[in-house]
Amino acid sequence: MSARMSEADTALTEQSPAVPDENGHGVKVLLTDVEGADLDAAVAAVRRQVYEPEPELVVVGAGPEEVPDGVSVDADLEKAIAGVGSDFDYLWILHADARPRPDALKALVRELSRSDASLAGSKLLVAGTENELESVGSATDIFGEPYSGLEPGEIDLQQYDVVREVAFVPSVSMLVRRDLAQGLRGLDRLLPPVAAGLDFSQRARLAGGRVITVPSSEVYHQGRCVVSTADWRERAGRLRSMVTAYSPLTLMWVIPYDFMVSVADSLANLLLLRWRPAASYARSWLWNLFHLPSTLRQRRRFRPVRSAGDEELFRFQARGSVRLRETGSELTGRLLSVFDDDQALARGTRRLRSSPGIWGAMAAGALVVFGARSIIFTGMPNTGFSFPLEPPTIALERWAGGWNDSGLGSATAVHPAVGLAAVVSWLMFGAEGATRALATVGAGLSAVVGVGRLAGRMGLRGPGRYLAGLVLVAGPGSAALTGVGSWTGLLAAGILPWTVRASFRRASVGSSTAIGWALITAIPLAALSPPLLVVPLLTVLLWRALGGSESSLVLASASLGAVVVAVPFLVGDPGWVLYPSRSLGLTPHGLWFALVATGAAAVWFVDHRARMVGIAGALLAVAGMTLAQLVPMGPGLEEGVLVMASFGASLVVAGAANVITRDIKKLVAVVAAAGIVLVSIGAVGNGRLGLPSGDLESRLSFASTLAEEGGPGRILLASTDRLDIPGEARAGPGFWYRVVDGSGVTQDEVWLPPPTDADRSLRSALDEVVSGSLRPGALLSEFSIRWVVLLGATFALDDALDVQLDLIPTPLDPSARVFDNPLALPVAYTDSGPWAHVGTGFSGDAEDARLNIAVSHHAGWSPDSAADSWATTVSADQGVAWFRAQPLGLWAAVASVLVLGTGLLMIALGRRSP
Amino acid sequence: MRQGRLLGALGAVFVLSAVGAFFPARQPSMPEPSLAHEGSNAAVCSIEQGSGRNTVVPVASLVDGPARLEVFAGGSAAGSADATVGAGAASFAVSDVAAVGLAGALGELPAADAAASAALFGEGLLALEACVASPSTQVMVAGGSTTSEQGFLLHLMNPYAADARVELTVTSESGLESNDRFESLSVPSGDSVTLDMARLIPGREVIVVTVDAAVGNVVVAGRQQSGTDSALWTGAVPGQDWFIPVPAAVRDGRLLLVSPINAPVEFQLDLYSEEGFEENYLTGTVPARGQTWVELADAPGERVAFRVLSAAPMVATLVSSDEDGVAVTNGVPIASSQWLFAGLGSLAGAAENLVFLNPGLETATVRLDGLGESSPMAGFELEPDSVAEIGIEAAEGYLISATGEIVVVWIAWGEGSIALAGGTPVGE
Repeated sequence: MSARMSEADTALTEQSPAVPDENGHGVKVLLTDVEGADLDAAVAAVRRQVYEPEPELVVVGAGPEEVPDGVSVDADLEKAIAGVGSDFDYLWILHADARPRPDALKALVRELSRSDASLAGSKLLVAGTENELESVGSATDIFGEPYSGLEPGEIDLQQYDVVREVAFVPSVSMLVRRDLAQGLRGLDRLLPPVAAGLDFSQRARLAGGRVITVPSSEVYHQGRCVVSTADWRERAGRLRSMVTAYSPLTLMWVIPYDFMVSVADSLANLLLLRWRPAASYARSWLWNLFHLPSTLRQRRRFRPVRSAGDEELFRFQARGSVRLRETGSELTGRLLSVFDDDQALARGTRRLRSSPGIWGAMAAGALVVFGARSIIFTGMPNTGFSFPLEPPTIALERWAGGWNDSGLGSATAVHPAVGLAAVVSWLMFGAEGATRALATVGAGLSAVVGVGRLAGRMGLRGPGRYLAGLVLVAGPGSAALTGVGSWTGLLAAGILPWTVRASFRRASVGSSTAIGWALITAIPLAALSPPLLVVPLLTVLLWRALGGSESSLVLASASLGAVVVAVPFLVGDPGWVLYPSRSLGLTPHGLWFALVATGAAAVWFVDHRARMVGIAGALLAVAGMTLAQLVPMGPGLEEGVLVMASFGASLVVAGAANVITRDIKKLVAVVAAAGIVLVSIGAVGNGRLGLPSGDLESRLSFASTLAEEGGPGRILLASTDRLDIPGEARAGPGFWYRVVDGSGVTQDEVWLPPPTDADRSLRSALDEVVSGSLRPGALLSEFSIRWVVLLGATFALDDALDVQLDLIPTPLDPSARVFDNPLALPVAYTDSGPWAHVGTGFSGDAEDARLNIAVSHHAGWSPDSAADSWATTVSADQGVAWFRAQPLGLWAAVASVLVLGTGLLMIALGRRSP
Repeated sequence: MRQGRLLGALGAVFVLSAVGAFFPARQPSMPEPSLAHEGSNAAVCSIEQGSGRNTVVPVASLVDGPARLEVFAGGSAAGSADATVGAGAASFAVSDVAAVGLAGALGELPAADAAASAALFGEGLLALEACVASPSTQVMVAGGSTTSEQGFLLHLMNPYAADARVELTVTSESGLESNDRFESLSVPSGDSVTLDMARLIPGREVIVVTVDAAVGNVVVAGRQQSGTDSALWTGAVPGQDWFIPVPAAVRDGRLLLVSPINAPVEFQLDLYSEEGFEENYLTGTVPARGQTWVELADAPGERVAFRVLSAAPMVATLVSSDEDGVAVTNGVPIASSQWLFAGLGSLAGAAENLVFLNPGLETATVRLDGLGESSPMAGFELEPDSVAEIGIEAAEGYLISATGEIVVVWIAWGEGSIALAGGTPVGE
């Protein structure tokens, strides 16, 4: 402050004689006490004012017990204003933490009278800095949110030194006409400084006065009174000032509008991992509700003074919401920064050309969006391994040790993807269609950006690293997976590069934060495809073996901790990983071996870093493809090695296309990479990112439509073509089959739990049917199979059902043979009638009877579970039947939350530490 | 050093690529082997009850167990009865189940290796036919006649869960018959439809009906009325091989050869008699969708049998109609080492014979095991290419076993009535 003030003093001395009649008006200074401010220094600063007649000084507030001579004290600002006599023309309201330059008052008086204004504010500079601007008056939006146009830390180069009308001036230093101040009864004492200034300025303007800022009046502000404009008190103050100032008509729309903006801003901030704004909004609204009576009093008091309409305020207001615009801008910036490593966008579009990563990302992103056009416009296909999500609460209950309703039911844990999808769906307010579509398109984009960022962390900067993401989405393994509708495989591909990237540590990031990120990124990967958790470790080991140094075994190992999410599922159904009989037998096309080997050979001609990336990727790719090609394994492992193959191939492309030059050798690498990318793009050309078309949900909707009192029951699907069966299938005598819920196939049903006695009984029944049983309907009735649907070419079951007596062929599907089983029993029933499915359990009329539930028997059913052959019976005396959560699933759910919390905590702790 | 590692890694990429590309890929998992269709344990019979006509449905089975007979009409069960098959036989009197006139009956037998027959009795009336285990999409009913004093009913039965729709192609000596009742004929589930051919196409000497099931399944039977006697026979699936052992009582009958296809079909008739096997006894051509008669009396020998070989599927039907009564039965499409005859030996007031043909090259030792409480046993040697006809002792049915594959036909006759029926091959 001193340096600038001394310079300014000199300048003032030179300028003063040029101003003819700035003195003469009587001014009373109302020095408002601020906690922690040095009042004596403030009084001294006022006394140093070069102004005649010398202003009279009143300290407002508790103030010191002893004040200098000639200084009076008044506890209340309103009273102090009211007590000012007519021999004073102006009142200078000044905070005790303000240090005006000696000519500050003189400039205010001069410009106020010259501009015929009623209220003038000083230019505020941050005390203790050379020349940092705090305020030169502000515009606002309709909600009073200040918009100064100043950048944080902006230096005063006199760039704003123009006397102009503004929406408001802060209350730190304002000169106001006495008569106006007395009419307005001063500042609202409940409001913090900015809001108080806003309120006073608005009322002054509505009373017919002009509000100006006077940059030549410079005041250094220590900021002891200042709270952030985002502080809840300032927010509350702005709301109160709106209610005080606006007409009822304006308030009718501006208050709901403000509420909506509050909600939108809160949500946007939550996306930025900031919860405080939501709390701040809530407090500000509550504060105003609490103070509503005093606000209305304030409004009544102001009414007689008002002489202008709200239009007078609108003239100085920005359109829309300043807060929302700032948050949106920040959100957009964060999103762009995900792939804008070079901050090219942030630095301006002129530099786009020089940032190859950006145009690579944009091209790849556009291709992903184009490849997902059908999903965007018509929604997700319901076929293969992709089906609608259950309501989030039910799905979460299933994941946390609840009943697995797939097939004929089981206590075995559901696939962890069910839990993850439930959380995402919950965040999307249960809009499952939007959740699936967004997650799918997001996975494609995430793969593109993820591979680009991973390659960037491995030291590549070329355009190919983002295009390589397309190979992860649709490369050798992913194409095979998405071709059969593996939705979770696609999502896992979108997450994998981020998890691997978390094992490549940046020097600037603390170890705590790095481990936190390793855990956080690994959790969704573990939920979607647990075997993929080993890929970061494999990549790191390979990278280090090839001489790379940036990776961390600790981080890669830490990501394995996320396996806790999938432990109950893996323990309950090891066959998903191990049993080859359950796999789909998916193998990459033989062409891919040649493509990857060619790509690996071609990267030999590029620079060392890209060569390392390419060869590491090629090893991962061929290892994954060879495993998929030769080694018998379960469907889980099959999914893992196929995604790994695509991941590796994407690194080959990233390395090969790192630099595009005319150098013939490097051009060979680019051509090889282009070949891989082109072959991959073909797989996503169907508009569904490679997922097959079809809507089994709609095809089987007849079950719900024709449901009777006992509910839609179950549907038995059978075909000789494994891929005709949605999700997993069981091997039958000459065909594949499974049962699905007649009310609609949901994502949790994709994975079939290990066979139980119920499944073995169903299999026996099917054997009888195929052998020529005359009454298959009776055999299938106990399984609540209301419909039998035969898909694909005709087979043995067709022959058997052609000559049977109790399944009614029903032409409901032109491309399938549908049989109605009128003998099917409800899934849950007592002798009095059926019970309804509620959540994961059942409910009905309480009675002294047993409830028969056509699900695999398990003691976890309550109340009073008992076995009835393979099925379950419980007591019906409570009117509800439920399944007790299994301890392993419950503990795993708790442990998962703890791992997530630990990850977040480590990130937060790492960021706090210097 | 680093370069060496990279080179090694590149080599590994090539090796793995070669291994992956050239080694055979793992096979996709397959469903378990399909189970053999054990055959249907159903038996669909054309029955008639009332107006002095009674039907009995005897059951014979290699496995003892419960059996059930349900008479169906109008889309539901008109009545049903349960019985236990003991000692290989049981019997249902339709009069104890429902008096519904002409209807269909569904027998549920203890096992697939079982048989049921429909035996129709009345004053001067005897008709026999083995019930049908499973339907076929195309069958032919040949040999009906609507000349004066004769009536021919086509009985289409649908005991199955789905409604059926059939197309009928009816030919006679006049050619292809045209009648809108023959098009898209609906046979509701659990019901049967009877076409009175004497009303639709009167005055036809020989009627051949080809029934094609367009939707669902039906079982078809023909009922020929002549004087007081009736003949009952079921639709036959066209084939290229037929055996026709001819009982002495119908030695003056005729062999009717009919073709369902719209082209002439050449055939060869081989003759078995006491004089041995005569290949190419007769050759000829069945006109497109036409019919050809062979007079049995023209064949030399006392006990004869025929084998029909044809260039395309056709049906051979044995027809006998004279003052002794009327009987019709289809030729036998296969030879078997085991035959079940449900109710053989149980027809009150009727004489019963079995006619055997050994079309094989070895002498067959034939054994007759009576079923039911009295279980007579008999046996004899049957030379290759020879025909034998023997009388049957009283029983509730018979299991015929042979060391080689043989063909057997059942004939029964009473006062002014005669009946022919085939058996049911089992244990194949």
